[in-house]
Amino acid sequence: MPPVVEVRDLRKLYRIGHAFSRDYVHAVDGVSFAIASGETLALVGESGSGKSTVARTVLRLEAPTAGETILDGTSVTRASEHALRRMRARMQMVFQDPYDALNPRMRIGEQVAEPLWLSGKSSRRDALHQAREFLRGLHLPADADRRYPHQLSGGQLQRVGIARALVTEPSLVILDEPTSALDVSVQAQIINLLVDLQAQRSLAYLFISHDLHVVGYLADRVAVMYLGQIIELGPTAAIFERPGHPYTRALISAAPVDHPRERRQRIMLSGEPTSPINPKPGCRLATRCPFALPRCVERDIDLTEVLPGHTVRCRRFAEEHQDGVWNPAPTGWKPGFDPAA
Amino acid sequence: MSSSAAGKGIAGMDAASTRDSSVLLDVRRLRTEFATRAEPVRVLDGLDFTLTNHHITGLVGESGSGKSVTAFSLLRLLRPPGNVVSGEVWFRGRDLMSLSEKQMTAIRGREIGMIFQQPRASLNPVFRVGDVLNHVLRLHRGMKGDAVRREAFRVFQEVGLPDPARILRSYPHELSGGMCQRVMIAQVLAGQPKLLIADEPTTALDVTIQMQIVHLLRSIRDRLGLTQLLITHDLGLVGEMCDDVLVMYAGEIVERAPVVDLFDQPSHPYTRGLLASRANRKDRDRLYSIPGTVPSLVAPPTGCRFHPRCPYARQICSDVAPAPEHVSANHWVRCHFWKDVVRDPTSAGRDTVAARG
Amino acid sequence: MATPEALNLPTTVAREPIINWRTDLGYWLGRNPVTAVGMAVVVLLVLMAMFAPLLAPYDPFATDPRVSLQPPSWSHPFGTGPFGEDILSRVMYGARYDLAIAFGAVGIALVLGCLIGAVAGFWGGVFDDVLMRVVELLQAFPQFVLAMAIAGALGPSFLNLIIAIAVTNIPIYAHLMRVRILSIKGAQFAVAAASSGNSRPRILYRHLLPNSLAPIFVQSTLQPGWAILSAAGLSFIGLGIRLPAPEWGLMVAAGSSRIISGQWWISLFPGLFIVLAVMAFNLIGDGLQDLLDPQRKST
Ligand SMILES: Nc1ncnc2c1ncn2[C@@H]1O[C@H](COP(=O)(O)OP(=O)(O)OP(=O)(O)O)[C@@H](O)[C@H]1O
Ligand SMILES: Nc1ncnc2c1ncn2[C@@H]1O[C@H](COP(=O)(O)OP(=O)(O)OP(=O)(O)O)[C@@H](O)[C@H]1O
Ligand code: SF4
Ligand SMILES: [Mg+2]
Ligand SMILES: [Mg+2]
Repeated sequence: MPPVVEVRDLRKLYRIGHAFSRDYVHAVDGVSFAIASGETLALVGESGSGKSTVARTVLRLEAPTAGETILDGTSVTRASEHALRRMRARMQMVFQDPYDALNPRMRIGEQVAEPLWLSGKSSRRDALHQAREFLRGLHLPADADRRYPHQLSGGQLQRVGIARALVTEPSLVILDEPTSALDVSVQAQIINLLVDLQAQRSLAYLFISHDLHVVGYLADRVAVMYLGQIIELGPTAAIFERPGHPYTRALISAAPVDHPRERRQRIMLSGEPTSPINPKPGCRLATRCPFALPRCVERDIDLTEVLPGHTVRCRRFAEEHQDGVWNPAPTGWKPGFDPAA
Repeated sequence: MSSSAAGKGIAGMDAASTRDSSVLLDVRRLRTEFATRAEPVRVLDGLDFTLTNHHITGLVGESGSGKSVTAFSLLRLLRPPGNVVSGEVWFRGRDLMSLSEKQMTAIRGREIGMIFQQPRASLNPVFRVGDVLNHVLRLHRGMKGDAVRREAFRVFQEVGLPDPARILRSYPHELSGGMCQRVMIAQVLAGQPKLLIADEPTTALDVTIQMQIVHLLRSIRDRLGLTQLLITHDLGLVGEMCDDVLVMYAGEIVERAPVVDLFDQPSHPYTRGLLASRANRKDRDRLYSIPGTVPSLVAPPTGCRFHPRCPYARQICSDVAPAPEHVSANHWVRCHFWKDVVRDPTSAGRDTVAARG
Repeated sequence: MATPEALNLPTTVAREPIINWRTDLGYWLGRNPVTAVGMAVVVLLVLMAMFAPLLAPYDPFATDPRVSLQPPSWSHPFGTGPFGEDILSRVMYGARYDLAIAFGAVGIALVLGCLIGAVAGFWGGVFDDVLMRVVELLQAFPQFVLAMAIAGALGPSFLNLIIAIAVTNIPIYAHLMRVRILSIKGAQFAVAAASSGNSRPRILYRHLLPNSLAPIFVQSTLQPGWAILSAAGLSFIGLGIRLPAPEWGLMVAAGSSRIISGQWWISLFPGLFIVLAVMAFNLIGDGLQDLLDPQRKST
């Protein structure tokens, strides 16, 4: 089955400083992935690694610097403005902060109806009617469509955000940290809702999150980002049980325990992430990686398929692993501390 | 500690408090209100709890349950319209609520330190972080000259800041969020306090940095025996670093237990619900979700405040507020039917309620 | 934008309060009696202007040489002018001119200024550069000097007076609007509007504008006071309306030469009404600013 969405070598650079500056933030630096219908791909990674930028450029809410998104066989990136607005119904997004993602001065019903009639799927009147029905199906108060956002709770607003994204029956939904602004007891409700809706409609989800427990629960595959690049992508079980890339290992190991009895020693990265401005060639983790060696920074490193469907961007892992197993010893080497230099 | 302070507060409930020296902070019937147009909103309604010496105690609860207000009330940092109406906070033989403002100022920073959720926002942007640290050392520790510099260096090393010499000369905006939080912790440690109150110290940080800070706080407890009150909404974090846990719901502490007991035998339906609603990779069953929503503190439910959402509730729950009852020596709970809860084999009454999204 | 730092701030970050005018206004006015007074004064002035024909004891243009230059008395409470015209009646009719100028000029400035600011802030780039340079050019002159130049160039008339004052007020609104649009165009709801398929212009007028107007309306309650003052000033130096129109500033000017000879009432009463109107508008504006930004008071 062809994937619902295919993203090829997506890039987004932001110029910083004055108009002729040659300094660029490499927010997204060559990201590729595909998602099949009914599948959830989770996107995890450090804050500032470019996850939200991927979301915005895939949907062309912001023009990518390079690369392409193909949705159901048509290019989103090359579509005309007009065609793009019609395509929006098939690719939708749910935002992190439910208070922020809704227009405070527009009725809920109108906001949910907008994507329907703006895409030409139905008349404005029908759209309002459909929106009301949809909201009802999500167990919102009967008059929710007539209310304004400040008249609903955070959990209710996130349902509204989900309703707005799903009312047009999209094939792809990007969820950018949809539960992280919500209370613990509400998070579970929203996750259940997302699972149900995906099952009913075979939606493709791109699920961005910091919460590794939720990712483990929801995702079929996981992509890990670090400084603008995907550094590992594989099936959820593999990522959690046999993480390959040193950053993934640190990330997985940083997930809080389920039970205080499971407290354990952890692999910790030292130091802070390096700057995403004009990154140097070679592995972008090298300054923090406990296993770094001089050859890690010789040249840029490609994603290598180490097991079927499991790719890793780590030169040492690609060269030294045996059937996906690699147990290196810390090297103590850091780039820039070369005694010969 | 003055045990003459009357009342049958929770103090007597915690076995620890019978051995006076093991209790560092004893909060009794603390009431905090916020003035509004109409009736004042009672955000904390007679809070009772103790903090055990050298332990990290977690205070967990959902947004708006009153965790931050608790911290601010203890330190008397609440600003109008907030106001502590009554209650006592016993700390090393003194009731903080009856001290003069001047005495209280001496206690803040010197004996009780506090760190916040937004590390950068709580550092003064116009001072180098080293200057602030030196100030703390001179003011609270009476140090001078070279001793100040050496001590500042040592404290920065203690909190794991790389290259202390450089960072001492930096301004907050030149440091990352994780580094700012370490600087905050260093400033608190420099005053050698007896108690550290940390309000969501890692919420604003990245997962990997979060774990570094958690380990730092944990190692400070292990090495220096610093008592800590950790405020968080993250049960994972509690499981990771706390010794004791207080569970807060709608302005009340509903359960208190040593951390392992809480995870093994949650005895309040709310605690159970929270634990059961956590997502887990190995168990992809439908998630349990506590029905209903957090009540407004303007008009809290009568009786047990959890009763409208509680799968175990019966008539008495809406009529009578449950008193704390012991589950075991250090474990108490406010629930009329905690025995049913403990006996219930299903987790969180997963089958008792139709947990529809 | 959506960093984890943005989370979880219900008690530390103040969102702009959503004001329900119907339920909140009465309560809030009760706690801000000064603003309530300002509003009452403006309402009374507007009523006075509307019902001037019913309220005024005399025709404001009627002259009567028998009663010229009479001090205030029961039959002429504000006294009379050199031609025996009744000052009270002229002050009452004058409210029509001054309020029309105030509201007209502020209205035009509001619409044009907001449009310029919104387009500049939303589209940025060349639009922003060109439009804001023009606006800055307007601001390079002191406001009153600019108004004088425009009124002078256009010639003295009621309409030209309004235009002159309106133009000098445009920069305030343009800047306010631009900053406001810049600060909310990256908000999640604006991105969400784009992902719902809104066109760029629709995002601007349907989503961003309604969320930008509150602070602008507050500003626009401060401006009429200033507009009345400028109108009076321009008329005073002969660049505004011509006699015998009963405009307050013009009346002050007409009577100013007679103050030394003892006929103070000709200038004083219209002058008092200018002060009253300006103060009333400023009280409202100040009060509304506190309502929208409760922190302002405490700092
Ligand atoms: N409009 C912009 N101009 C300049 N730099 C930008 C812009 N938007 C994002 N960036 C930069 O791009 C990088 C990626 O940001 P992005 O928001 O995509 O990260 P993220 O992975 O979503 O982070 P988080 O987990 O904190 O949400 C960051 O370094 C950010 O500073
Ligand atoms: N300035 C204030 N005015 C009125 N009520 C307030 C004020 N500050 C806090 N409250 C009320 O006090 C209650 C508790 O707030 P608090 O900040 O302690 O919650 P919290 O448990 O720390 O939540 P969070 O997890 O969101 O930080 C809330 O219901 C809130 O409505
Ligand atoms: S007292 Fe009643 S309502 Fe409250 S938690 Fe226990 S069973 Fe539920
Ligand atoms: Mg993001
Ligand atoms: Mg708080």
